[in-house]
Amino acid sequence: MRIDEQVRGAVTFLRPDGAIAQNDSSSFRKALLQAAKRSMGRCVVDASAIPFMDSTALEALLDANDELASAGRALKLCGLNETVRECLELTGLAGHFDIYDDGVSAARSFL
Amino acid sequence: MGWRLLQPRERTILGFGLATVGVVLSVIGAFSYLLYDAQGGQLDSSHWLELAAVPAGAGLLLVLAYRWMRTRMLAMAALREAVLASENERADINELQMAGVFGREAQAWNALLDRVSDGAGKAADASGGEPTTSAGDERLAMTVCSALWQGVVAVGADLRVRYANPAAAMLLGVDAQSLRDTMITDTLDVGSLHDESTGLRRGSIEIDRRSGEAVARLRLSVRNGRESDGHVLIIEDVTQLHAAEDARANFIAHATHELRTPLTNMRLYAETAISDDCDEAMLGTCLNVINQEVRRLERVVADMLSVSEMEAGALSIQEGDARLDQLFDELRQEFEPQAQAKSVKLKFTLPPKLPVVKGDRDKLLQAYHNVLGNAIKYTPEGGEVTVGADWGEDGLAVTVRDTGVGIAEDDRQRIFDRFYRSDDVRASGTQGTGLGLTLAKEIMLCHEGAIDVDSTPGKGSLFTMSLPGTRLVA
Repeated sequence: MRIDEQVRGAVTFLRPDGAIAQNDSSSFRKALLQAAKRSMGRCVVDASAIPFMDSTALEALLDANDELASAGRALKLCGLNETVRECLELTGLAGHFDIYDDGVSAARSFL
Repeated sequence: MGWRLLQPRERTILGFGLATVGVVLSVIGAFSYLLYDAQGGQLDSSHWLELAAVPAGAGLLLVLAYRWMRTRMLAMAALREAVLASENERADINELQMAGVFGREAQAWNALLDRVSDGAGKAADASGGEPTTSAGDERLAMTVCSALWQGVVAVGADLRVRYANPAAAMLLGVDAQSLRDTMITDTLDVGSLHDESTGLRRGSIEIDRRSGEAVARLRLSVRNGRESDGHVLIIEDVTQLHAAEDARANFIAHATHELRTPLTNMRLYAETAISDDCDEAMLGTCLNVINQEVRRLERVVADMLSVSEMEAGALSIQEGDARLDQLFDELRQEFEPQAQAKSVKLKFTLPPKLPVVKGDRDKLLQAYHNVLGNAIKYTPEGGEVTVGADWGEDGLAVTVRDTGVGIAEDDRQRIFDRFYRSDDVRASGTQGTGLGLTLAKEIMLCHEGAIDVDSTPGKGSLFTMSLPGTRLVA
């Protein structure tokens, strides 16, 4: 799995390319936490290129969300496909994150 | 008369008296026994007083010890109950008082409660009779402050930090606890908000804070300047707001240029056309240019309208039949003069027979027009732009290949974003609103299609716009 990083305006977008499972989750978590700290919480996960994620990836998302929540922020996700969206909904985690259809809407939420 | 009806002092005197009697009786009994024993004598019933003194004294001492222990234990139990009752935020302070019979512990506890009560009364007086906050209220306020994305820092009149919420700590790049009791000016340049007499003055400023390579724009606002209460400093992260304002300003500049250029051309050619020395050939040229510029203006306005429809979620397609051969003819007629003027070779490599597409003819033309227009715009002189089409049962794919400046990998995902324009210096000379590809993508999505891009910087790009087979009529 490759993680592309883009800065749009003042918002950092992380775009993992590929499924996130066991082996990739720790690097995903690390990249997320680093980006969240570096960008002062202005961080969005663009999930448009994530076909699937397992429980360890969900845990990484929750860790990053907890980190941001401790500073009054929430992890923002955008571009979720049906599989990932269902995965979040079935596990009851969808409500933990701010979910947007696309990156523009997610970036606009920081205004 | 029970123990509880006696005053502590009386109880002490009585206790000491009885204890003394008990000790004296025990000592008399013990000495008598030892004396007779030393003399080898035998104790008989005439010495009943001495015989009874020992158990009577010991019994009295045991009773006294029991009473003393019981009193202490009751005092400890009462103290424990009072301490536990204090956990209840709504408990009345009188309910927490201990009875005086429990001695010094009760006195100390009651004195402590009195001091707390006095302190709360003074605070209420200072607040003008307003209700004071309980520990529960404070916890609630802390929870609320912790959930805020704005930084909140409570600063005393001496500029020392009394409280900072987690968002403030994140924005200032420090730990919230380590910020406490430090001078706010050590962490933050409050600039013109600093006031020698009151610490901080009401107002708002913006500062830049560097964090590694990134620079954040923070807005500092002092919302409460009452000297007695200190100040509340609100810290907002307005970095993205400024980035959006810059993007909006850029868009207005580009849009103005896009609108003004055709208007300027139209005015100049209209002036030439109505001048006395304009012959018929010149008039034809002028009308042709004016016609082209009107169409260009129409497209710019149509793009802007479509984007506002798209933003409102109202972009829709008028279903009908679109003949592709006619669409390509229109594109050829429109772009060949532009390509020639720029010395770019424009080629249409189309199959002999093209299908009819079920969809919105004008919108599809707009999408193809925007992609082809971009290809010519970003292809330097001497380059080549090729339009192709391929169709079958699976669907239709229209391709636009150019030998232009290409698109960097970072930009490839963003070129379809609204108002996005690349910072690439090779593309910086070109004008545009940054709406063309956004609309092209949206239009293709409205037709259940897609748009993809493949590009090599410096070599060129390939855009593929595909429609599903269900959209093909014949």
